[in-house]
Amino acid sequence: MAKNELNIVPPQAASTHLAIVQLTRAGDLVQTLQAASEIKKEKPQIQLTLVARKHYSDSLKFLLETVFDNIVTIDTPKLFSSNLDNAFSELSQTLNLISKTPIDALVNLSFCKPSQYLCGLIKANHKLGPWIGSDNQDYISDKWSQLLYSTVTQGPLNPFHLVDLFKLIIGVKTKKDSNAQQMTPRKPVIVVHPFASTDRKRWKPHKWSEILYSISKNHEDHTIYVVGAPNESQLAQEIFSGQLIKTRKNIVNSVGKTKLKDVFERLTEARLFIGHDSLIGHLASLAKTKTMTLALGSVRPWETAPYGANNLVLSPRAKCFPCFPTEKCAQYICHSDIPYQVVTNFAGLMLKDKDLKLEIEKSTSPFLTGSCRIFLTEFHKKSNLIDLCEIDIKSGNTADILRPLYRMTWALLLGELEENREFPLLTKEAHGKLLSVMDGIKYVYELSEFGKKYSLSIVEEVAKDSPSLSKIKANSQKIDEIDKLLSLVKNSHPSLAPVIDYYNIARANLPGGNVVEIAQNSFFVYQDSALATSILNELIGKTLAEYKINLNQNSNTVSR
Amino acid sequence: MNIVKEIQEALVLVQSTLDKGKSLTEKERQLLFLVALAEEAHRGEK
Repeated sequence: MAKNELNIVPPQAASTHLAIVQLTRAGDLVQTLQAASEIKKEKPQIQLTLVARKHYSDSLKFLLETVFDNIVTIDTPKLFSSNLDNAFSELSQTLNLISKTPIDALVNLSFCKPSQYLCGLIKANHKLGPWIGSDNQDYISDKWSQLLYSTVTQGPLNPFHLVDLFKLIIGVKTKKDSNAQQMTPRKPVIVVHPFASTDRKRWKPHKWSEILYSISKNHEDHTIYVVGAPNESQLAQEIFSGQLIKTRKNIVNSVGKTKLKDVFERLTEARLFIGHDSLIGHLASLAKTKTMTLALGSVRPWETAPYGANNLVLSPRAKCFPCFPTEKCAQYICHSDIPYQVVTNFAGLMLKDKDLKLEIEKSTSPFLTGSCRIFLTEFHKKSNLIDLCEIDIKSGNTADILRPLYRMTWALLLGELEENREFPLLTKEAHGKLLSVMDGIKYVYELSEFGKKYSLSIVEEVAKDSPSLSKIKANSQKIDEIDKLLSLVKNSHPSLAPVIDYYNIARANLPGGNVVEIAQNSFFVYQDSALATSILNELIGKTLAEYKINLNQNSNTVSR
Repeated sequence: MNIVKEIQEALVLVQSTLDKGKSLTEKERQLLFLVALAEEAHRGEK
């Protein structure tokens, strides 16, 4: 069956030819490039193949070719240009091209259905990430891909940056970022990309008119290039139709007039990039340019902020942020949480060659920054994974408190990486919610222990001289019941979804060729689930204890 | 016959293979990839 179509071996142990499939958008391609460039640095002899959509990869070819030895493209319009026979023939040619050199490890970093079918079709000794077998079933064998699949875009609780997850899936050792920002001399240039893929992720043109006017006035010695794709020209026209902005001579509208390669070259000479979450921000981080990202709508900045140290991210405090792309929203309340004065002030600070964190700390005030959150990216000192560090930190919501705790748990369990962190700040409300989370954790722990018990019973029964089929069936039914109860716990405690979903996926992908092997592996997955919940329980317990100590100290101070 | 009709007819055969609990052939798996790609193209993906 399909599970015999591969062996499970980490790619770093097997790969001389590594093929990476990335069928999502251009921004994801740049993030894939950032991860792939690390494995190339680690193993210069490795042969790297990229499989991507032609529409997105063609414009980035100048960058992709610097890391990948072969780029094979999926040309959707060409595939469907004629009849079905022609489509089959085109596809077969593409598949032959991908595996012209035998593939040691195939990695799917895109989580869309076509990529899963494609990875099922590509012959490789080892497969990582999701793929669909000849039995039309989904498979994900490696732990980091299972985590990505169960947490990214599922809610606000994935604690890792996408590039870090890609690196961990590929098997790149996490090292300190050796390339500091702006190593090359820079010109007095600021690049602005005031657009994003959807309306909810970007400000209205009039707000950008005001920002561009202010920045151009405050920095008359700088030239500000507004960049964008041809389909963003209409919005650019609206920005430049304002009366005030027309008076400024140091703003250049190059939207729709330059190729991506020219934009990248501009970024390599610029002192600052300002924009929303988009491809250009990722290009700016690749060009080692300081970036300021305005994260709005459905953007999860801890997953997709420009990758690298010292990038500034501003995000709203609105409770509904970040939303889901499918949720209807007519108001875009979060758009008004970041005042344009904050952007212009911080742009000034970023252009000074001083300690940015210190400068920002000095200039934050409740009047200006009360409604928005300010983050600086940095590599964690111990794990070297990127971290979004909040400046002027206030007590967060439950997701903000749990995200770092999840991060410590996953880093330790899946990557054997340790991270020390300060205790999250709690409010009275958050304290109450965490107590409820702990109740849920107890249920998950107990159910995991039952899972261990019934998995072990199956192993013991099979080992008998004359095993009873009815007893094996009964234990198997108990395990099914446990899984049902776990989904009930997920409904009543949504903040435990990452741990429940992750181990669900792990159980759905149990390796093993017979009942004993599968039952043994089921036991290990339940054991891991129990371990993850105990770590989370301990971390939350200590956070609550710290909150009580602080509370007592404060009340003692007041009573004195 | 246009490619959409061709795909629809071929999909009926794939369903029948799956209903019988048999493994899909290489061509049937290729067809499922094309269908997934076409569905995404229909939703606006390039």
